[in-house]
Amino acid sequence: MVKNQAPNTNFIKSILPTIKNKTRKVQLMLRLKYELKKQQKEGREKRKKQREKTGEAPLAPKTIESMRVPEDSFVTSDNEEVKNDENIDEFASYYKEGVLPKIIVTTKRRPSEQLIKFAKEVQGIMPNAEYYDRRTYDMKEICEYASNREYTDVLVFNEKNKEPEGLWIIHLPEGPTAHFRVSNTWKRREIPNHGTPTGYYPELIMKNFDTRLGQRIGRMLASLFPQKPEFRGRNVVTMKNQRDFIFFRHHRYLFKEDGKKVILQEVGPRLTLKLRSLQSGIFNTESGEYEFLYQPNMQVNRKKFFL
Amino acid sequence: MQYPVVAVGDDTGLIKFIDHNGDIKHIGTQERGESVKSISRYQDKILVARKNGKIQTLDLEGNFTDIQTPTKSELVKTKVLDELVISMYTNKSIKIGDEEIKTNYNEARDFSIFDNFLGTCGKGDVVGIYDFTTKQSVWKARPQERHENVVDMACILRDNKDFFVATAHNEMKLYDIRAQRKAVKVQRLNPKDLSCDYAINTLALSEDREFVYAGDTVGHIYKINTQLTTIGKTKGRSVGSIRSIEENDGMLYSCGLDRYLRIHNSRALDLIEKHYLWQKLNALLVIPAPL
Repeated sequence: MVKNQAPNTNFIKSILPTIKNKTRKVQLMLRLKYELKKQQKEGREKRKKQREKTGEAPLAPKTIESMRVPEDSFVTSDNEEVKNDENIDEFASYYKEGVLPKIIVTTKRRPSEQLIKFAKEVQGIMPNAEYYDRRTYDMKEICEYASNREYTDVLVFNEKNKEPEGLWIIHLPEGPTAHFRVSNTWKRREIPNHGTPTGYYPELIMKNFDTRLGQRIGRMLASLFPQKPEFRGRNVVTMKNQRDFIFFRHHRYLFKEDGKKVILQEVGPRLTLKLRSLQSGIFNTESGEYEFLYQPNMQVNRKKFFL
Repeated sequence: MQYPVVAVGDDTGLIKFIDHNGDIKHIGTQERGESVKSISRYQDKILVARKNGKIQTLDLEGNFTDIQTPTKSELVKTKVLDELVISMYTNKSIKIGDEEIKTNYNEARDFSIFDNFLGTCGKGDVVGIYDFTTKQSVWKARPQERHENVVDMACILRDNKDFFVATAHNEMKLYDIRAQRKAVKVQRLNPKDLSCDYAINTLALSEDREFVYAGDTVGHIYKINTQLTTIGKTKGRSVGSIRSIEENDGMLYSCGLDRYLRIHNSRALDLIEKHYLWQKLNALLVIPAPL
């Protein structure tokens, strides 16, 4: 093969198995890789020029989400049965009648100082939430106590190696109970140029909760906040589902140049949730019935998502 | 509609009829508290029992007729034996027609009927057998040891001898009610080292009464013989608690909280088809031929 002459990739492919010199083989492999990339680039440019001529729109990029395996439980906007169910489910009163949530935030037994601080920061975002020391109480006792005092939700944080690891959300009085894995947590002081919470009811942005299970989880998370946002506070809580990970962010927006420009300031804390289980009643490890339970063997196909 | 038709009762109060072709027909309205707990055949109609205690009959034209108004206590389960409606309530009572049996369960779970016997289970007391005619307790299991404290979740009477009980610790117990109060055999369905001790909450007998199907709270169905040996288990990655199982003509129909109606081959428990029905499903009834 002569140097500086464009080699045929098919030719390289055909002679590769016959070459026994290792160095030469590696050189040819690299050459083949380079040529293939070059071909791809040329093809891309050719297609781009053709599109410009014909005025066609560019193709949408292929991502795992866009190639998602279709789910039976994907909810469309014209599904009356689901709409009717949502009018009578456990969270209906929060959306229809504007019932204010009343929340207990607590931790596991013997929490670290870091976990307590984190739980208190989360409590700071939620209006009407109170932090309670866990002491030695059982979850069942806490639920009973909270039910009797008309609390609507109990949030319990777990930790591993002094980092938040799990979150139980127990909706009272009838459930459901959700267990999330918590990861990628940023406390407020770790976020650069962070703001401070103002205590106004935040606006909520819920995104990509598309399946039946996803909608239920979305409604459960949204019901932790009052459904009457106080726009004066310019607070936004965002919960975005992406590949079954729920990204939780808390921002303030500021208007600049007489409202022509808007900038965001993150208030924090920042966390990522992944659904582990959803039980139909209140917390019961013995005989609780699961609506969903994450099992590692469920994640065989990377393009299959549940929320 | 092509038979067999499966009638499924959901958590919002709807009854759905799914025929052989997969066509779905909805009957009823969605209301809070009207959750369907049981569906059974009653004369030439279908008997629908709801969570609030209301019991209705449903004819083929889709008309409901009330035969019992809502009660104070919640209904757990209803079954029909020779046109006699038997209902279990959370207030420790079992109504047999107009008469009543009082139990000691704090949380009643399940009951089963065979011949003159009525087997019961629940939380707070041991399993027991009552006589239909005298309404008296005729047999009671031996009280549990303190350290055991296992909740009995479901029970089924195979004949006037074998009484199967499922527990919240993934165990099946077999009692011989003619011989002794202690369980003859206790068997875990999953090996202990797998830490899959999910509660078993549904039991059903096969058509020939030779096998027991057990459904757990995470969607597995086990096929067990009368010696409590597990013969088969469903292979799918189902994840919602099983609420109802029924076998008909070599097919095993099951539904649960994951909102799927699943049809398995009852011999090998292979999944044949599944239908997504949008609501949590509580009860099912297979109608093999026109009523």
